[in-house]
Amino acid sequence: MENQEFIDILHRLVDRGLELGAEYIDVRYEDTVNNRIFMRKGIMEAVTHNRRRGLAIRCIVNGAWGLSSTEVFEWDSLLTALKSAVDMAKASAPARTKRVKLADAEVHRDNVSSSVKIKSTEVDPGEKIKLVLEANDRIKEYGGVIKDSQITYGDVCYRKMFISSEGAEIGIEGFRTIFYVSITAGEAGVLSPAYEVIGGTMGFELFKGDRHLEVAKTASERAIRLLKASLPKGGLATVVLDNRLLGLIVHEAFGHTAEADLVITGDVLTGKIGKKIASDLVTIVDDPGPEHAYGWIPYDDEGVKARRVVIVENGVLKEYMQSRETASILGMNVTGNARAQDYRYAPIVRMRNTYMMPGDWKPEEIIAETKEGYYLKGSMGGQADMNGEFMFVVQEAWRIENGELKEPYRGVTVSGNALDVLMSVDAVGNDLKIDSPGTCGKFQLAPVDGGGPHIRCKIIVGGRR
Amino acid sequence: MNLVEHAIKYGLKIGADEVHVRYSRSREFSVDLEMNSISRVNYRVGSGLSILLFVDKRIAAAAVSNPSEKSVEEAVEKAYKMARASKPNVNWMGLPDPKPLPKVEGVYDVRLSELEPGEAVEIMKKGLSIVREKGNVNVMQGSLSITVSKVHIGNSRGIDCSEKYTGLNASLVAVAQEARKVGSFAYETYSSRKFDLNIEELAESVAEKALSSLHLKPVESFKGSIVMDYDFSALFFLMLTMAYNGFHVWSGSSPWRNKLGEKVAAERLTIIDDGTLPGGVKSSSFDGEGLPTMRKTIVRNGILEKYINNTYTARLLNMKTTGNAASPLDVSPSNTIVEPGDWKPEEIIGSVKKGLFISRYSGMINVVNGVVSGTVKQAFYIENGVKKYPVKECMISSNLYEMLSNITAIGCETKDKGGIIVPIVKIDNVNIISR
Repeated sequence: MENQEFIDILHRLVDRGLELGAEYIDVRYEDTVNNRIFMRKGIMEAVTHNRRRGLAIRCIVNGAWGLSSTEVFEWDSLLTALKSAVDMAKASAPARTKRVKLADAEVHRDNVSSSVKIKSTEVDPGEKIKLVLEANDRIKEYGGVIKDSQITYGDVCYRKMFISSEGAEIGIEGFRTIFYVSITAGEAGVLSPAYEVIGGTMGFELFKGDRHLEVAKTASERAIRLLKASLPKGGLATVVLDNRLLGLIVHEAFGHTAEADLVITGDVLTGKIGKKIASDLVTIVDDPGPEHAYGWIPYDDEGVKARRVVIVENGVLKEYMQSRETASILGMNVTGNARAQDYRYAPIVRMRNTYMMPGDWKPEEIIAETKEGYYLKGSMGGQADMNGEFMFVVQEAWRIENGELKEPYRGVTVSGNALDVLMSVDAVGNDLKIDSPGTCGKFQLAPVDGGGPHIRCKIIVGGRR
Repeated sequence: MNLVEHAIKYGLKIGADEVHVRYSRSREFSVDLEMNSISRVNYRVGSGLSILLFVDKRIAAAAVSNPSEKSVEEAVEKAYKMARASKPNVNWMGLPDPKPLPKVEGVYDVRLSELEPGEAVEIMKKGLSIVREKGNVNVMQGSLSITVSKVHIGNSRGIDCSEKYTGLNASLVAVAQEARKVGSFAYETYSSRKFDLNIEELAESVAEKALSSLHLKPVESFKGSIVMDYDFSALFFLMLTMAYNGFHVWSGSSPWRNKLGEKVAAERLTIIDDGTLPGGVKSSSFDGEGLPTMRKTIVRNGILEKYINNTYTARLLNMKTTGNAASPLDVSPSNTIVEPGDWKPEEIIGSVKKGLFISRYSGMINVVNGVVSGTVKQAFYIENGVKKYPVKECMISSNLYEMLSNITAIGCETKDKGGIIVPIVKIDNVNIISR
């Protein structure tokens, strides 16, 4: 962690903020190193190393928030930044109708590191580049049918320090590593895209057992397989969703509407705590904990110990995800969901790792017990809205007939309303997987993860015309 | 010695063949809105230096915040080490030589640079109250940010240029609610180099859009016309820039490869890329590799005339750079201007027999295969030239390149949507799919 001298300086800064009239003040210091290697069509397009260090000072003065960030750590610069934070709060105070209040949260003094075996900072850049080159060689084995390939390696190492006027002092060191491949296969005028990813809160051990080659193989073979697939008929259908597609729906179409800031603004879950909003089989959590999940956080960016939030339990809406401010407005408990992209931003309510809890069906049984429908796997992106309306592009699909997988389809979209979909769930698998590392962009970027088991539900299936 | 020069010299000293350096510095404040309230004012100062280094056609980059001589040297060493470990990019043919730069007006506004946070708070407070007066409309998010920045670019072949900019970015995101019904979110944005924000207009517009997503009626599937409002039009033409981006043309992911001189769109369509547009939010006197920006016609009366390039892609295509470097390796559009036509907006609506007027589109616009398939939000059903009612979320499905040929009317007014300056546009023969 950072040396004691620097930590003492940050404490002095907090004290000085109180002298300047702040009712509350916190300081977030961050030192982030990331490496990215990107190869497209066999051409090394980017090998980059980036280091950013900075500090955010956030305070409440006259009942209003001010925030100031700086990248210069000499005392005079820190003081200037502090004064700016106070001035910003004063500037916004006259426009506020209600004073900011923070819900109570336990004050912590702690030092935490994410679980890591091989720190990416200690791996030679040549080793990282080698992974990408090897994956590229693997893709080349499939020959000219591969029209486009993009391979990305990324790692992040961050050190954070949080200090508040309430006495918190939390140091966090974390490592994240990700590797993904996008392939476009093409044949006889048909182009089919496919995507595969691995990643998590971990170091270079992610690649143990040559998993990068597995990613290259999976994406390539999927893209090639999809060339032979046909386009489906549209309409409301019974579908079996895999853990990734379910995870996306749970995060994008449902999860955001359970974020307390959006609930306060007014969304589809406003005022619905205690109400039945999904099938009895549905339990959805947002969990900061899974050790290697990409959205792992031990504390949020307000120093609140991050805890598991049971959003839906057996179909009933239980809890929203909160920051200290939203928890105070709603008179609810803090959850540790306030996250900031980096020191240039204020924390806002964000998800961490969001997934549906497993049930007792074996995944193959769900398909075997389905008379007619589709098996839908993975996603290639899409969109969702405040009212739960969504549309996602499915990566791979098969028709199900009398419990058996029949012909494959491509270009499938799913749409509808998240609450209708969750209400229609009638089988939940026992095969929970949290393996959808990615970056969520709700005005700011945040690493998140998610998933769930295989489930069966009803959804509007669309195809290309 | 400045840090840009230092990075170049140090890079050459430790063995690089060529070095490109970009330094930027900015101060910014933003007034943020959340949960129907002014939530805070943020103040940010920062600087960064990034180095792109070339060793035997092996390329690597490193960047540091708040650079000092020492941290710059460390970054250069890091990049050098990474480049040595990398694979050569056999297509790389070297950095460009300096050229005289144009004088571009209106990229720095003194009034904007002197704006006080308190004034900005008042502006957003006004915007908030205008939206809130509409009754059932909530402001989910909003921001007014003012940035003053400086960019300095240099390379080992003698390029050395710098410029100061100001920027204003405003946005409002609103959601309408009635009884237990929640609409889809609506947004409105404004970007400028100077202090000319009309917050009343922005707030009125976002509230109107938000309200138009309540009381929806479903439509049956049909084939008809769509009228793209400014935001959709901007998104459409922004995606289209990839079709004439030299990198995608060279790599084969654009169907507009080998199509120069051919008809690619309806005759009434003209698209210009202009990095020198006075006051343009994407204007500057030099691009991301330090070469002069310029104005060029990409599509003239439906005929494809030019691609946008940097030195790297221009050499690959046997062409000349158009001053569109995002960096020596990447190409990006500057101000994209779709020339206005001669139709008044109400005449365009009046000419639609059966169709949709669409404010927000959310979905796929795939330049590679042309697939346009997605959800329509805040859209009105038009019949016999009359805007009837807002429609329930439905899908549209068509092909980007067919849509270009089916443009049948272009509005006579344009709006600048963050460097994409577009009119409203009518396109015929689009599948509208009820769901």
